[in-house]
Amino acid sequence: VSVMRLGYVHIKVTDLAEARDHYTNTMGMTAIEESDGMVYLKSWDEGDHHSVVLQEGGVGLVKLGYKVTDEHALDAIENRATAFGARVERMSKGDNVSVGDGVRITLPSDHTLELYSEIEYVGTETGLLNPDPWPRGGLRGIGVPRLDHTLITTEDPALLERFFQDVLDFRAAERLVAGAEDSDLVGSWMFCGEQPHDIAFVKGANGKLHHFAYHMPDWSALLHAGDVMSMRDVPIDFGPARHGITRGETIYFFDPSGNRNEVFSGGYRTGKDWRTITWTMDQAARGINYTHREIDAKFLEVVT
Amino acid sequence: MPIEDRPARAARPDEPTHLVTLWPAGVQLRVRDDETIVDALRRQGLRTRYKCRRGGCGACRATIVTGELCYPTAVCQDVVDGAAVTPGREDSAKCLPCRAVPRSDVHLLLDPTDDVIDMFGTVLPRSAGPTPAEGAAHGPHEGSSPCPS
Repeated sequence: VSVMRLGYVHIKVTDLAEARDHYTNTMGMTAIEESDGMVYLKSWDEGDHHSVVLQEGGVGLVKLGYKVTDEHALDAIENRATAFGARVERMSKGDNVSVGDGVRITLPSDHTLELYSEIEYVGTETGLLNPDPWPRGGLRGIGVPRLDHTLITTEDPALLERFFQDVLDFRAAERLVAGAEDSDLVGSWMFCGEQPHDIAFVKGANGKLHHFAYHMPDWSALLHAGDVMSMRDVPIDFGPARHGITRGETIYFFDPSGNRNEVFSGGYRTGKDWRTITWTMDQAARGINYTHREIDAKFLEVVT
Repeated sequence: MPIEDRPARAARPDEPTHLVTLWPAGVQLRVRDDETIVDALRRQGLRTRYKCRRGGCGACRATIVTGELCYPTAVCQDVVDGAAVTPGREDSAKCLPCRAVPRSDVHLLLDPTDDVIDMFGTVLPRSAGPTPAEGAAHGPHEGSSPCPS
């Protein structure tokens, strides 16, 4: 497995100053660089230069970056993506601030996916020598430690799942199926390392973002995050609640432009010998919200 | 804006407000010019359909029958307009009540699947005015724009 994790999410925001305030003061990220109408942010436990990029103008996803182990992996991915029939191009060091050479793929779902192995190392806020468990200066707002995963929508979940399997060596942790013989794939939650998911997709419009998520240590951290959201009048979508799918714990909420965010904790450990779990449509609401067993229709409709 | 800075009080008698009428129910409410329509609804114990309250999702999208609105915050025009335009109503102006502030008295037509909910059982005043169709026939210029800075 050469893809390691979701490295960055690059989104559009309607008002850069409001978005910057949300991601720095509510989420607790740090702006590492600000240039040309863009803000590059990282969380306190992330060492790489950035994990979220804000770009002023509009709303929704610009592109996703996944970090791979090394340059040879990029060559292999380029070949496999080309063989799959995807549109592939090389990207050069400097195309993205601090990011090295890489491969840019237009997914079958029309999303732009960038794979890279080099990015400037800034370091975590606790460092590598006899570190404290969290920054001594304290955390701002929720104080998210790191980015975790994203969920995007696609007209053809089966095709996108095959792409991630064949080209990027992802595996499905869980699948949601429909149809008379449970043969129609509605959603897939896929991992590249040992998380429950590093990317997920559900049936919907091509090119859209459902949410991106930050990892949180535990349930009580989620409840604290909920307090901060109320103090700062952040609109909640749903939660705190348990997911059936991934067994994680969640609050979904919206940034000042209406892009959906999630804070996510828990979940299980996967790996190469993982056997895929199946959810059927009659239990889909429990799969998404195990606590309430009901979902608002808008939860799946609303994407940016 | 943090909640402590938000205008959460009722309008003073001497304070300028605009009358917003939500069709087809005909529910009327007074909206200050420093609050959005959704904020005014919430202040009065009412709800319509909304989701992100930040102009990003389009869940609250409504049709402007008459009147003028503006947006104190930036909104994405694609979200305001929505993907699907009703055939024959291509020119009907849409708005996002979660971000829109009235600049005149306004008549809005909610989406057919939307409604005004009276959360706390307050008796809703009903408009005796024209139906949305009549209002449109006689209405002034309709539209919405960024608020003047």
